[in-house]
Amino acid sequence: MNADFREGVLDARRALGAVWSGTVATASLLLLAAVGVLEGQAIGSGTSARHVQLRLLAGVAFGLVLPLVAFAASARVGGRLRDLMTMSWARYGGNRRVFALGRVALVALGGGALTASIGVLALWLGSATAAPTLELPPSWVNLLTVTWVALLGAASYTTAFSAAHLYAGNAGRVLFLIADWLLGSSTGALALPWPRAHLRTLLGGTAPLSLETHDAALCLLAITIVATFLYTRRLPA
Amino acid sequence: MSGLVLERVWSTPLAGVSLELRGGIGVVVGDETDGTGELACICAGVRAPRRGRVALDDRAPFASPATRRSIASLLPDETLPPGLDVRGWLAPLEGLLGISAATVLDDTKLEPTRALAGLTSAERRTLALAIALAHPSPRLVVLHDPLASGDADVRQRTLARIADLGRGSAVLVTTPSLADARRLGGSVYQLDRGLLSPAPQAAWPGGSSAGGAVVIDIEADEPRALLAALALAPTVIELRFDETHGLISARGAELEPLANAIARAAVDARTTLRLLRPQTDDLDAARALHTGSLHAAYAAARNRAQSGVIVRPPQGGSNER
Repeated sequence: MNADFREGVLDARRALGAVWSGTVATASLLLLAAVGVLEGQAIGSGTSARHVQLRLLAGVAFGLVLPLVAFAASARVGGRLRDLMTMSWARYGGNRRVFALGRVALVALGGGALTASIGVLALWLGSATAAPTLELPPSWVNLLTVTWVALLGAASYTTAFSAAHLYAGNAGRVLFLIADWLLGSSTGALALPWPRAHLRTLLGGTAPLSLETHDAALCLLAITIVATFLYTRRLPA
Repeated sequence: MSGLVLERVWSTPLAGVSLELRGGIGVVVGDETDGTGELACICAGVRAPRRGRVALDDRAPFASPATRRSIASLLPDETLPPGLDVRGWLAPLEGLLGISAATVLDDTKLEPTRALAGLTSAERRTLALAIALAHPSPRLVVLHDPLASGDADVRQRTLARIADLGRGSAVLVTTPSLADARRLGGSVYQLDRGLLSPAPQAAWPGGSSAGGAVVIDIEADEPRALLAALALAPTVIELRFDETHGLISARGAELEPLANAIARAAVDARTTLRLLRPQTDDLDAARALHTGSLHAAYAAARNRAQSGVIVRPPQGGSNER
């Protein structure tokens, strides 16, 4: 691994810290458990059990945990231009862009792993709370799908938050979160630039402009690439 | 020969600063509010100028990692990564800069296992200074107030190393201290509220001595306590106290030691200074005193007193703590 990238990853790991990461993971699990218990009481048929699974996945794991964790992690790691310019490693001659990408990569990977874990637990919770006669067993295909969607979603959210932070500071991150919530929940053309709309499509929800599922994945990838490009463009090497 | 070039650099508070340093030692005297810290950051490559051009051998330090590797620097505010100890921080820098961690540890006398988060501001600066001075072959050395801390031995060693570095590369030192500027030698520039003097001065103008003795009028909340403390300062040659107006006049041989003595006396007497005003009959000397040198001397005194002395500059400036 490139030394600058490795130092960026290590720097982000130190900045996040075990206590913060553990607290966030625990809070996410408790949130899922609480919602799971409340939703589980309403399960009466196979269809309703599947709906509960979907609500836990789309509503809690991907709708709440993923954006909020990416938002909080980007604040924790810090990414204002002034901060990145004075980072010690870059100050002593490390490549600032590669270093910063290392930091973003760790946050994206951590957010993706946490969301995937929460998503898998949501699937399991849906299966476990459903009556055995409803035949809702966990499936490997579902697990793999949840994992790659979580990683792609985390990458798009993390890079977008990082770019917003770099260009407009904390206000930029907050505005992105609000816009993602408001505009990403719609199904028109305005929903296209926001990860929420495409994650919803990938999880079986209504797609903006009736896009196909694979188009939603491509849109998430495009958001990630554009945000990464803007991020590295703004930051001097 | 390598060289640092700044062309009409604007960056708050710097206002169109131009400077060319091809080698040797250049000293920029001014307070941090004048922009010395910003200048050091721009030259070290941790900040990009808002406008203008900065280049070391035709490459901008803020945009070129290779150029930054060849810069040894001490910044006004040294932030270190959290979660590491001193040894863990120095290890990757050995590969990056070619420095010897053992030399740095030896110079700083810091325990290798000390957590970076537990270092005081002075220790962080000491560590950064040791890293800068251990650089084997810098093309540019940028040091902000390198003589501000440390005992006499450390200062002497720092001076010797800076002189040594000045023989092979360009060295830019920014400092608020006139005395330090004189100790460092080289070309002296004055940075006053963002404006850099256009030409270097071989020796500092007479503002530092104001034609021999310097007299400063002082008003303080507790003038008697301050008077008692000033009476113990060997730098103060003569003291007068106008009881009606509560005005103390202190005479000394040079401005900076006198300002230091006043600052220390204010700390000892636990009093707040309300006024510091130099007395001089010489118009040129008065101008020199009022255009920065006195401010710089106050800043140096304030930094070294390291306490809550409130100094009100003589020309309508804001309070400084």
